[in-house]
Amino acid sequence: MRTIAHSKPFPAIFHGWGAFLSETWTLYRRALLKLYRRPVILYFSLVQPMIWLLLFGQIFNRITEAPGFSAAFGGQSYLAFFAPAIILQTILFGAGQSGLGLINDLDTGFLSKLLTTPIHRLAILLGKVLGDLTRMLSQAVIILVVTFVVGLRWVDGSLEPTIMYYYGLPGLLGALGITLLFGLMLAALSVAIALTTRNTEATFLISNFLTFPLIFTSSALLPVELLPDWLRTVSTFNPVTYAINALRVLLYGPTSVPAGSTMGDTILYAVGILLVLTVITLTLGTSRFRRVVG
Amino acid sequence: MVTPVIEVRDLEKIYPDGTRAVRGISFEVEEGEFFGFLGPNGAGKSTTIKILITLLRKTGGTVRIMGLDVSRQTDAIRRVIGYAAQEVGVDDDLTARENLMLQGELYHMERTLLRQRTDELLELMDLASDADRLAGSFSGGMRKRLDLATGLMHRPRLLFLDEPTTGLDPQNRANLWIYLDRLNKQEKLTIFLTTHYMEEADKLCNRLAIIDHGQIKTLGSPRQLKQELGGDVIALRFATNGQDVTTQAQQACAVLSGAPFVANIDRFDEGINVYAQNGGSVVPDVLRLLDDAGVHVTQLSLTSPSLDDVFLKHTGYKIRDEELDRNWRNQRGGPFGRRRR
Repeated sequence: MRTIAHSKPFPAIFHGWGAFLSETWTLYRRALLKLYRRPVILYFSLVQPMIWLLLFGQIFNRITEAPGFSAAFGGQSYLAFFAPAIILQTILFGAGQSGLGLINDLDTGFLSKLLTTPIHRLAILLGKVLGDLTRMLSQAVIILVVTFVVGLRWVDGSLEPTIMYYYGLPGLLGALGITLLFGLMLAALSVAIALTTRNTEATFLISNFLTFPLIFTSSALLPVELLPDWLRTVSTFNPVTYAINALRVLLYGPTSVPAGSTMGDTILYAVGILLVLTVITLTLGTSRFRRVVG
Repeated sequence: MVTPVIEVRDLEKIYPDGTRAVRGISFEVEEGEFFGFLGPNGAGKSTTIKILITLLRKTGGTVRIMGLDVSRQTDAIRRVIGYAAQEVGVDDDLTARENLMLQGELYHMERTLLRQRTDELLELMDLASDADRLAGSFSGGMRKRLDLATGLMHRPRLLFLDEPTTGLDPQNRANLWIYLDRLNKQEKLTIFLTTHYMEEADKLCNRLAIIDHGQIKTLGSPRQLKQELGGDVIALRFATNGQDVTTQAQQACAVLSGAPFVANIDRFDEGINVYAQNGGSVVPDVLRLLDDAGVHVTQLSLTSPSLDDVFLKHTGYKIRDEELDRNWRNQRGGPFGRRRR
């Protein structure tokens, strides 16, 4: 056996910012590898939203003929209308995973081990959150693709899409951007909750508990104009409403702008509100994290 | 004068809730030593090791690791130490090789060195043939070895082991000892180990400290500590009818402390331990003296001194392995249990 006696520790090839980036990259790759090895996490949180998408898309399709609907959401099918809500519902439902991963690292001792290495503490959190954002992004893309495919119709012997993306690729990218911001807000919240409760069940419950009330009291199922008055009031306090509205505008163009608002305002409100909330949850999450890693 | 690898002076730790976990302990560990910290749960072992590995701040005293101050030079210390705990810090979703590579990358090791070192450690820990299997499919003993290997990736000078064999079955435990001994002897790695298994401390450590209630009760080589007892151990138990036991124990102490062949006597709740050279030849005398005094001995055992006896002498109690394992499980908390760090 070779002897490594009395040898010095290996020299580091990165220092300062280079080290921080390399650590983040290493831990991000770990997160991706975990996702790849347990794809069930990615798919499991997609099952329910997919059923919703396909069922509700059919069940409520005639709603588009209801008075007021086409004024509030011009032209396209209920499937198209509902897809952005399903994207955000998936993100909401899966957000618990971010916190769960940290609790798992805490319980297995993996985190302790990381903390005895000279890595930057925030690289641990950043690597993890970037991994979660990647998962969310792939889920959003999968939903968009499925929606598009389900929306295809046979017209004169050829497949024609019924869903039109008004701004094409830039609109899609913008929508994904808002989705990621929404996801970051929730991932940070989930981390804060997980590190406060240090409990898998509690963290899971909270993400479950939040998802449906937030979806039902937003513009997810119907344009706000068609909601009962009290619900319409509630929906104006629900960040999900703003995020969904912005997604619809970015995907389907001016005809989906909510009454009394403009294109610019819809997007601006969404970005503004999500940014503020993200700053809050990120601050909470990182401060909890700093306390845990001490 | 060689700088000690670990230098602890008057170390104190008071938790925010007022618990004084460590109450002024001092010790040194020299290069190449296998140093043990032996004590029951809650004695302050884990608190001490967490301070030494920079995961917990101390309240008072000084701690130097390879001459580096533990409060100010944390990053420099983290670069030279390795760590493995009772919880196995490996990622089950990664292969053995990936776990090792990940750890090495976090120390910013150069690519070729990283690969070399990974192979070297897989070889050393007899994991080479399972290198590309997921750690989640490993047996308890293999996971433990992998965990140990990840702590060695960056070629630390000093390895900290926090109750490394707790929760392992006896066979895996004995197996891990072989690897630990190999690391210390062949790799000349300085090892600091906490444990509550007497046998483990006895087998592995050149020197050990017995710690209880946050204080070091005694410190020395296992051999030295056993010698200090004063000879073989004659454990005596008395008839168990109420307070009679205490009276009889007292009486026995009084009678035997006068005897010239008795080196020392310790009294515990369950009976007394008499220490004497050539224990076998004095047993008849002990029994005769007690019989004359009217003390009823119900049980007598004669053993050569063990660390258990040393431990009993310094802490006043004896712990059995099953009890330890149960405590360990309780400590981990149920599904809703909040774990104290």
